[in-house]
Amino acid sequence: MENCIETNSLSFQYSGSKKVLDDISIQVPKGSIYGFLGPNGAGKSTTMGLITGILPEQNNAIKLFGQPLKEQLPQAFSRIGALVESPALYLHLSGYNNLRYVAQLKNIPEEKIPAALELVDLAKDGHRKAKQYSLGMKQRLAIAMALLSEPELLLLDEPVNGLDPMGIVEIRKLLLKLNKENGVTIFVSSHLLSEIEKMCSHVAIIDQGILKFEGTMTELAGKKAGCEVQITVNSAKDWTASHDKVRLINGNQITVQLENKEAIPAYIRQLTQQGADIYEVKILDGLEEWFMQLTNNS
Amino acid sequence: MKDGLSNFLTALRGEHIKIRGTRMYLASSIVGLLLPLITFIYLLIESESKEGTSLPYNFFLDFMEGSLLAFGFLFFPLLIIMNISRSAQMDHKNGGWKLMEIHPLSKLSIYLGKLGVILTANLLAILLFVGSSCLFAFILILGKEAPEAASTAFPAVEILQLTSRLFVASLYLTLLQYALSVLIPSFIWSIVIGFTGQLATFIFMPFYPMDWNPFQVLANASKIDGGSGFGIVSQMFDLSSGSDFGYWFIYTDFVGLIGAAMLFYIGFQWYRHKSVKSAFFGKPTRLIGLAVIVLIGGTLLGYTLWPNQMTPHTNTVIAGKIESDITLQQAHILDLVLLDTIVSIPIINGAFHHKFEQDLALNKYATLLDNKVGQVVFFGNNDSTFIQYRFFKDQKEIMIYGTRIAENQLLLKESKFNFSVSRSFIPYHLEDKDHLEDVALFSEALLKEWENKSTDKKSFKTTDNYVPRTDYFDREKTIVATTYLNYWEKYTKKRQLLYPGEETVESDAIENLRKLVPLYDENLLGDPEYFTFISNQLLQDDTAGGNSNIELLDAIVQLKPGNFKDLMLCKQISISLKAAISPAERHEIMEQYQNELGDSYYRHRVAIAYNTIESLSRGKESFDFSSVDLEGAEVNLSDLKGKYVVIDVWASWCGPCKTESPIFEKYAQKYKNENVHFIALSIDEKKTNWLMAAKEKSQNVQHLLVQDRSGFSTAYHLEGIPRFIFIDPEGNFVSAQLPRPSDEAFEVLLRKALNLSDEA
Repeated sequence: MENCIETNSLSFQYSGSKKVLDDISIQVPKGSIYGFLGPNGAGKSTTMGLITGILPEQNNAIKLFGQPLKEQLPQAFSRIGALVESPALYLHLSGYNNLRYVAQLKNIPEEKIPAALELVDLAKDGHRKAKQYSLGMKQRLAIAMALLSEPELLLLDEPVNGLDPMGIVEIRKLLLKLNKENGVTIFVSSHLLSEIEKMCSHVAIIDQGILKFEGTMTELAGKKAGCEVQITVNSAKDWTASHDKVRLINGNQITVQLENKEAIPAYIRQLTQQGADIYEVKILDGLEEWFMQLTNNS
Repeated sequence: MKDGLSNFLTALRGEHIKIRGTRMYLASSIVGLLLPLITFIYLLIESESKEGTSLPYNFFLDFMEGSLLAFGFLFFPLLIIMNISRSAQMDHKNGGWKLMEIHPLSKLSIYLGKLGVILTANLLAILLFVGSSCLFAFILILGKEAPEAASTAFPAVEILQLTSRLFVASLYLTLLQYALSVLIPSFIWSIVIGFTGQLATFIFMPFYPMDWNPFQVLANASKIDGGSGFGIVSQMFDLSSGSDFGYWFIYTDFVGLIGAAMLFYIGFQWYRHKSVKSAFFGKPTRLIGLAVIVLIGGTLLGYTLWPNQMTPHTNTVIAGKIESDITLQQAHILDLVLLDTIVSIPIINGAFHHKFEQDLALNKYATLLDNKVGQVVFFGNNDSTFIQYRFFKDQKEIMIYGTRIAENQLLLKESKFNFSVSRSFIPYHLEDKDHLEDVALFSEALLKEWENKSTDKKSFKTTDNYVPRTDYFDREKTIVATTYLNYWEKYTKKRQLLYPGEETVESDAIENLRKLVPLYDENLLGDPEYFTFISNQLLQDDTAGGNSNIELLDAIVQLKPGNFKDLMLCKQISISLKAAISPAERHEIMEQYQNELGDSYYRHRVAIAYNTIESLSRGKESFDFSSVDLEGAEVNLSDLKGKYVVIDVWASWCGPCKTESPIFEKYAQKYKNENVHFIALSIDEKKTNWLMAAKEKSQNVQHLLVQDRSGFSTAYHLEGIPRFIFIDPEGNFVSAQLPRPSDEAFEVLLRKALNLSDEA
């Protein structure tokens, strides 16, 4: 099968209210790390809920592993690991016992549990009760629970939520490893652009229930044209006329859209010759800009 | 959903992992062990053992008897509510439902898995209760000696039945609370609803038996037969549990099963589709499914709950079986008007059986075994009646089965608890000024109470859901109406005295009440209220004070000749004879009224009554009898001439005698220096019983055992014991029916005869 997940004009609304999802069609190829990106309230969790069957599907729009979703649930979950919305854990049980529960439900031998704990760096805290865990630890435990069965498809809803920078890096490394070594397809939703950029092979962007973009990362990279530079300077407004694509950020910052990186030295020389005092020159993440633009335009 | 069973086991095992640390099974264990432990400690500490005089019972079942109701009505339901709420909350709080749904488990397995844990907890509590009760009882048997009447055989079948019934009955409540708790995310609310249900049932249960109610169904299963009936609980509540027909489960257990099945379907569908609308109205198939379940379930419930009535039998039969430590000769069936024997049936091997050839009106009859054990029974034509007697020493237990099973159980219940009588406020109203002044107020109270009484009777059901037939209710309606009309009569008379000249207007409702009562129904004459009613009617126009007995006789004489007149006249003559003070008065009554009786049978009857009374009247010669004393020496009554003789006629199996004898002995002590001899004459059959009982009593009185019991009984017209007889030094009666020692008149008459002045 080509695509792990496929939706065809997926729509969803709660009774009476406006549509939460409107005509979403995405394809998640097997073996990809697919990022699902959008601001808060865009409909990411709703989509995730529909794919997992937590929310009832309103038209037969979703296919999983090439087959309609409805026919496969709940048995399909033996091949899927999921983390949807806030981590579902039993606070009165220890981390180890939470994993034991999942092991029981998915018919996994208990011997695999220590390895799973190791994977998310909870080996030392496995025997403490989950209610004593910090938010980050809870998140990691939830990830361990999703990973325990070594699934074909991982559905992760904001997996790095609440993790510190080191934790985020660890999880990223883990996911990349799983994808590369085991061929696990990973469907990740997040509002953190930087994470998506560093990890994903494919991305879909959603805003207010409408799909704005779907494609590979390279295609996305292609979308951004030119090179955007941010310059910290004295008296910024004096320099707005220096180039036709200048934008004023604040009292001492401007951004300018140049054709490419090579054009930077020339422009800086131009400014200094005109008498500007340059304090900082920074290349802006084009994707972020483009993302803000995309979502602000609606 | 293909491997349904393994899926379910997965879910079940998962649930067991989840309940770690919640102590759910511990709580169940505690609830199971608690009451038996308390009972055990209580019985250990209690130094006085139960008196040996009781009906045979089983020690193990008796141990459980009292605490079983507390278990089934209070602690066990609480446990169920708590466990279920806890189990559901665990998932509501942690997003557990969502977690379970992203695993390869069908919703059905999820729902069943949790339910499985709850049911296991239930079973654990039940088994521990029953098991520990047996264990503790066994320890008591080994350590202390069991009372004489207690059997120590292990009642395996009864225990199995109890366990199974408790479990099945608890399913209804379990599934109701489960459905609620799964749907309501709030822990507090699901508990509150559960508790409120329990409390409400507890409050309303005595007034409205709700056999569809889950708490009631469980309470009905928390009863056991075979205990001693001594405990406080068994005195207060009716603890008879089993089916009168020997079924393993009773109808409320089936109600529970049907209810549980319906609740399971509804609860599961609702959980599965997450909202009512979607679950039942989302698709046509779901609506149909709901309709089918409700229809089938509803029909089954209706069928089970609908009361049954017995059908008439081809013949009119009465039979009985007797379990006792004494042998009895005859079973007599008597009518209640004149206490005439209709038939005497020989008792063979502890059983009797008789087919009536004659017509028997539907009525209350008295059954009497020799002259020892009596019981009023209700039956008529085409009724088959079976009476089960158990009595030992002074304890008796009587159960009536047959085509009038419901009527007789209701009769027994009313006589035992007497609530219906004691719950009447009318006697208070009769003394109350407000009610005496305001006729409308009193009438209203009267009618309201009458209505309540009638509805109370209608709500009675036997454990197998049998209710009395319409002819019984019609009759009862009439009797109850007469009771209240009699109150009305009293009221009217009282008002005449207090407010002469003021009229007491009878409302239409009261007139309607009158219409219910037929005026000359001889079958109702046995009922004292009806007799009073007719008497009141006949004496309506009586204005002069005079002797009401004689006036009543005169009024009855005016009636149209027939059986009713004869019956009533005969009865009233007997009453008047007993009430008469002198032989001359009695003679006068006989002269005047004997010949007014149409049928020679009744004339003969009053003659017998007259002669009996005469023979026992003051101054007549007492009948000699022979007896033996404690050493075995023969003592005749005639031997005791020369002194006054006071006789206490008693028996070791007579309960009321035990109250009177100590007082009698006290007088024996007081007057031991006077010219009077106190005798305690026993009519026990078994000499050993008498010896044992007599040796424990005061030796101030001379203890004698009568030899010719039936002769004595006939001669002295012994209608019951205790009975006190006073004989003068010449051997003539002072009184053949002396008031009881507990009556002040006893000592007064004693002193008068002994020529002692009245005490200060």
